Amino acid sequence: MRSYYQRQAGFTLLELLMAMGVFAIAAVALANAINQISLSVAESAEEAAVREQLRGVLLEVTRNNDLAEGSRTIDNGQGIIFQIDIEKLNLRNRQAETLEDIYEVTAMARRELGGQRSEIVERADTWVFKGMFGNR
Amino acid sequence: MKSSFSVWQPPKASKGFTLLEMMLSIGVFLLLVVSAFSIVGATTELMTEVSETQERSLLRQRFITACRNSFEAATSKSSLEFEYFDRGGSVQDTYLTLTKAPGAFDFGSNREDHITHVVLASEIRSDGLIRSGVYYLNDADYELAKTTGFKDLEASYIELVPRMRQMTWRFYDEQRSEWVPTLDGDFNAYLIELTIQTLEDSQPLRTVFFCLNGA
Repeated sequence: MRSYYQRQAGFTLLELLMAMGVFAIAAVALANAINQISLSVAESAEEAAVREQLRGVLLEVTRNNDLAEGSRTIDNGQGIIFQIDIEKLNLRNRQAETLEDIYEVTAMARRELGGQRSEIVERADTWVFKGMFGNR
Repeated sequence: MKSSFSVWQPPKASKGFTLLEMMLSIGVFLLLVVSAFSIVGATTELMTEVSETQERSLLRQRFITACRNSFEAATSKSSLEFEYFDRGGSVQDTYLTLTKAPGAFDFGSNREDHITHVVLASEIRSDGLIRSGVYYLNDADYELAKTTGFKDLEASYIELVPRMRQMTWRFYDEQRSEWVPTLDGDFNAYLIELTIQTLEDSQPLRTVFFCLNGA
């Protein structure tokens, strides 16, 4: 009778293939993870840039004297569209008097994905009292 | 009868490895070592790139934040002036001066009282890029600088961004409801627009500042 060790003097082709397969899967997973890191860093840098622009747009709209209800869009020419919605708020104080000239401003940064599709990158909203920066 | 002596025999061939087996195993080992090294190399390179990207993004962000804080630090005594000079480059050198704004570009330090003018400069370099920094001037130096076109200033200077492709200011003229490139015409600009693109940025970034007291 031949012993076990005598039979196992080398590796069979199947064993080699399996080992190489496992190694390949691990290598692909690693490469994928590394790629993911670089993508997420690039994305976060872009988001920071969009956030900064959104902040500027929001400031530009809210500090302007001619604040009025309505919607408008600004295209930054880099595939991002800023949509600004200005709505008048109906607020009352304890004496049930309506507080005039308070607006809710919502700014949204959308990235165009082609066709009619788009995704929201960043969104911000604020309340503005029209008279606060007016009359200057 | 069996003899108790036996003739010496060489060990069986299967006790060692053949040349082919050795070469194959060395080949596989080399393959593994090379792939391990290339993975480590690629990871290191990527991490360097990632940290550089973050650093650049942070530099730009810090610059914008410093500008915003400075404009918001303007008091009712502050004023804003804008000078520009054509030095023969593709763009003009610009000097945005905040006068009597104690908190402007002080980076947390208490500035000496005689420094009354803080000038945010955008100057073209010999290689065609733009550098941006801040000059700290007293009254006399500022008057002199205006006559000499801010050339060869002997004043404290802090470089903020060393290399940029673009740095452009615009000011919102409320009377005409439009952005204008200069403060000429003596109007009050409460909204200030800055467009910058550092050397590594793929696209310019536009942002807006509010300076209620700077006009």
